[in-house]
Amino acid sequence: MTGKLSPLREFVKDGVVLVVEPSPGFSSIYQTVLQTMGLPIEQVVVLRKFSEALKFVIEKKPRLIVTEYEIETSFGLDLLEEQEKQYEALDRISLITTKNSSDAAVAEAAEGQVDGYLLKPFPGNSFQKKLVEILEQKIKPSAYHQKLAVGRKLFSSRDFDHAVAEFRDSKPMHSKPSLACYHAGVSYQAKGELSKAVAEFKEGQNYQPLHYKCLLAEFETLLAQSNYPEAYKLTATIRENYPVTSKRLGQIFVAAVFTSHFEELPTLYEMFARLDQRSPELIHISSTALLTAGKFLIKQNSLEKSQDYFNLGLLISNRQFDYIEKIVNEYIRIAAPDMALNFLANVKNSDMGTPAHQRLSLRVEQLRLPPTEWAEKARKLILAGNADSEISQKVVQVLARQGQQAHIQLILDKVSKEDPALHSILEKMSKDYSPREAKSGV
Amino acid sequence: MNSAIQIKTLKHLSTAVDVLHLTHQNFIEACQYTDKTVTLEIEHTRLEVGHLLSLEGQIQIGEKSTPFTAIGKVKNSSPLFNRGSRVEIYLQQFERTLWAQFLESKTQAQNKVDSLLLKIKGEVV
Repeated sequence: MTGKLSPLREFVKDGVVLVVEPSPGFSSIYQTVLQTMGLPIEQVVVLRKFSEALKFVIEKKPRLIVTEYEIETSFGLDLLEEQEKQYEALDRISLITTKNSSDAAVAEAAEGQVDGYLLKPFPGNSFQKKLVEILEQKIKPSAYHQKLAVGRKLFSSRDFDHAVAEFRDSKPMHSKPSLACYHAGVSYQAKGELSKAVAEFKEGQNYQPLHYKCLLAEFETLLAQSNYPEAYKLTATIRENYPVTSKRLGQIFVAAVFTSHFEELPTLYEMFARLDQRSPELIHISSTALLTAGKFLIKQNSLEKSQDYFNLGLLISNRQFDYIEKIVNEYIRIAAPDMALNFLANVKNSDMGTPAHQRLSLRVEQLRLPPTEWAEKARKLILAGNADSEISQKVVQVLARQGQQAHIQLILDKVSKEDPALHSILEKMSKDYSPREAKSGV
Repeated sequence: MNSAIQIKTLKHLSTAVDVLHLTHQNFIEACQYTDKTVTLEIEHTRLEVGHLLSLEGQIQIGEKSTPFTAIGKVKNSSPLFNRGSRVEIYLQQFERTLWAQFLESKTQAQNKVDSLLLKIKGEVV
């Protein structure tokens, strides 16, 4: 190869560029532009399936990725997260092209360190212009950004003291060195010096009020210190000024619950519903928060209101049986069978009639049916092998009180083979709970 | 709120034959545009440079959709692997005010995204 390589070719070197784009029209535009910018076509790989793209990123480590925001049911950001593990910021380029212009989507991308976010459809030359602009920043970073990059490398190798020194030295190189403060703060955080970290984040916000990274880092540090009241105070500033991402919303749910701001949860739920991307972690945190709020309201005797919170939690959890079971158990605990039944009715068809569902229904029925009728149902469940230890013990207590020794014997026969330990407990119970007349042989 | 160009029919001006053959969806969306062109990805059909076409569809600006019709000429056509083509159509007759509104909304939306991206990444805007 002779002659000077194009800047793009120099950046990519002998590696590859990955384009993840379902539309042949768009992918051909990117291919054409990349070729125009001096990249041989054989160095550009176009994939349309997320699984293939993820495998490719892991194996081939592309320095440059152009991806759609959503690919099938997955997210392009997950590919970029993988790329972020492989290269320092100055050594990689990531560009998202999408129709999705929601603030939350842009914020998710920015938090994921995406270099560019281009809205589809785009003007004729804007893809190339955006790529050239990003390439310039990567190839010729300012002295300040170079210094930050050195600090980040030291941070990655866990040399936190030298990293802090680099970030500190970079501050005079910029009129508003908030980013240097942010990185210095993160280094202190890694060293476990949380108050110094917070001081850096606050200094960053002095240079640039509401500096997103510093603001967020301060919030996260307060959460890490379990300083929930101060963390919760910051959530208002974050929400007023920035779109809330999936990760952030989870943290806000946590801060709201730990500071007992349960009245905020319906608003947070609305924010959850508007998100494009809902991580399993967010689903878990938000549904748990609503469950906690519901339980709290039960303790406050606000039963009607507790149902509202549980219902929102149900929607988030997608009517998971475990979740319904927790709610139903709460109402069983306070002997509110009608409310328990309301939630039991939300069980999905696929969970209907399973042993777990039968056991839960039986627990609710214990509050509604006469003991004899309930014991008969429970006995059938035991003999079918679908009961648990708790139900077995309860039914033996009821049958023993009624002197139904023949029924108890059938249960004992059934249990003796499957669970000898339980058999001993039940046998003892059948004696302990027998009526005095039976014990004395009258 | 993002904006879009949705084309529902794309007919040869001389024969009135629709080249879109839409089956799975009611429209196709433009990939690119300039102040006088629009680029479309057309499945199963190859169009030649110079073909005259009539376009019908709508322009969506935020929540609002407005009917859009135009007459244009194929300026560029490149084959795609799926036996279709990417065609750039030079618009000859079209509603210029609506088009200008579309261009403006796109510029504003992209500027907003760029600014938010920079802010969140921690760069000074």
